[in-house]
Amino acid sequence: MKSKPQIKKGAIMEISSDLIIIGTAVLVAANCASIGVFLVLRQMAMMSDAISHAVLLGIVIAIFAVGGREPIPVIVGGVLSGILTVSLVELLYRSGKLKQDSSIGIIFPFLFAIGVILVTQAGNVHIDAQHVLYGSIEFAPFDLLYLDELNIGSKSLWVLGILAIANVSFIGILYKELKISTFDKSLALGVGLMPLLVHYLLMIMVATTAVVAFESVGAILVIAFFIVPASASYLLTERLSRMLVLSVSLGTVSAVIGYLFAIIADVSISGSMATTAGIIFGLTWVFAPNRGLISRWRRISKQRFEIDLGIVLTLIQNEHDADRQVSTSTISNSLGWSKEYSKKLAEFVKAQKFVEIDAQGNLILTGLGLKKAENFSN
Amino acid sequence: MMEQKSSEKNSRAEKKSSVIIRNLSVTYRTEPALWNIDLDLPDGKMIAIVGPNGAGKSTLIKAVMGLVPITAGKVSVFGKSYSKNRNKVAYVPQRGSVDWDFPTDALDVVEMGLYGKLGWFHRPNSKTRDLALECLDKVGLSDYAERQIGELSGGQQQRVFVARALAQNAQIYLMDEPLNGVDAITEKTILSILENLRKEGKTIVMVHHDLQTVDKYFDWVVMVNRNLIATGPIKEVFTKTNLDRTYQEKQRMSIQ
Repeated sequence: MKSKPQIKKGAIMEISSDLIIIGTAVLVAANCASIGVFLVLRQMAMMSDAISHAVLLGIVIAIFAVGGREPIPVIVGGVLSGILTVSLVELLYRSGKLKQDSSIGIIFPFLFAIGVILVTQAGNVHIDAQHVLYGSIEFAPFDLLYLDELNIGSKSLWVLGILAIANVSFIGILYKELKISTFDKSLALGVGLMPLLVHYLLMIMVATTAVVAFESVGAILVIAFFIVPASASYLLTERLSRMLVLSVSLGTVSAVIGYLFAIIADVSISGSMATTAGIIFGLTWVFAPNRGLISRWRRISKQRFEIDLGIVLTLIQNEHDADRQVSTSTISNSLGWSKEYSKKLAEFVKAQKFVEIDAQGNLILTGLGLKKAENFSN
Repeated sequence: MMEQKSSEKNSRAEKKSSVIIRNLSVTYRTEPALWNIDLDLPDGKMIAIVGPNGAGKSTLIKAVMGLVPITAGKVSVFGKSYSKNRNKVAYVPQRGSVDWDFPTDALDVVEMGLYGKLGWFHRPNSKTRDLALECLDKVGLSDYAERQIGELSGGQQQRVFVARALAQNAQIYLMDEPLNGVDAITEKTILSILENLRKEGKTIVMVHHDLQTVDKYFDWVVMVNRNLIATGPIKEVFTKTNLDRTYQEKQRMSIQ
């Protein structure tokens, strides 16, 4: 898909249509990334995938019913099919042997497939398969909203802006209820904060967000905006409030960088934004301060070194107790370590003043070293 | 509370009981988890629920709170259904029931114990924060208030749960194996807190695994193995005969 429809425009129009697309992208990312935090923490990533696909059915039915893509009927239709999805999934896995992921795998392709059949029968209604799958954020500047025939600007900005207010209010007002029902459902139930109601309210917000985001980024890529920024921020912080802020920030950054890349490389905008989100996640996964790959490696090798240090000091102490001298080769022989590693450790313990090395190259425990060795053996 | 003169008479009938269970059955899939339980939990006691794995011990306390669907029977808490008296009951779930990687700290988890009293939409405030800190202090973890919960040891996590239950300031404390696999300090801390609660007239109902310590820690026992095997004061009920009946495999078969 091309990045932008090739339509002749003046310079001012060019700038403002870029801004509309970026604004749309940022709002899609921010809306999905905020609500996505709760999906990630509730281990419901697949449910958001299911909802974002299944909304197609409701959207298509709504378009047929009113004969056009009016925002309100489309949103209502999409939300209803989203709720239908959640309810059917719960019905399936609560009633029988099926696990939740299987139930999701049964319900959403079924509903999505019906939607696909209807789309291909659309004919006179303007909706096509490519639009459904990848979205059409490129057209955002040309889709205008009219109030009593007065042009009040980009439809996507209006709809997404209102959605952002709704999402922020939802999370702000029900923050405590969302937190407790996500962390400990049985406590929430026990103290009367109705986790099932909170669950369905959250699903309504997910479905609404999915329907609106669907227009811009399509059914497949929307999950990237729900799950990826939230997962990256999960690796970066240990506070829920910060996780929300970070998730929205990372989503926004993905949208902007993705858009710029799409313009430069002339590729799909939504694809480029989702790819950027994936790359940002990858970087986080490697470099995150506490939970990143590198910091995990460092921690493990540091722990291993600490253990080896204790082993060496204990060895020296035991040999001393038996009136035997310890040199670097004693260490490598009795512990089976390489000469280099034994030497490295010997130098380390000397630098730390745990041992002194005499003229014959023997390691002799200092008072400090003795204390450390006793700490280890206890 | 009144002390009765004829203590050798059926002691169950003499005690005031706020949790009354009648003909309770709970079924998971096709297997009965609990079968026709009649049980009164006396007020102001330290009560142990014992029984082998899969005997329905956890299910029993979950059924009291409506956390599992009841197939048949009734549970009343202070004369009403649990949902009308939920603020009089605190629950300490098994440690494994939550995600300890959740982005939150110890103080926050304790504060969640107060969410019910705050009610819908009301935000936690400095008052709930102070109260939560006080409870965290009681379990000896005030220094760990801002620690991410996953960084706490198993015993400390269990104490955070107990602090959370304390914050709920309930009449009845239902606890699912709070002493399972914890360190000595945690065990001592939890027991001394429970002892204080009992002195205040609160009721403690605890699923307990370690049969060696039942007579030391508790004054009442409920022995279950899908059926109610026996219940009453430790001295009268916690006998070898009853233990054999509780832990023998046949017990399960006799239901079918």
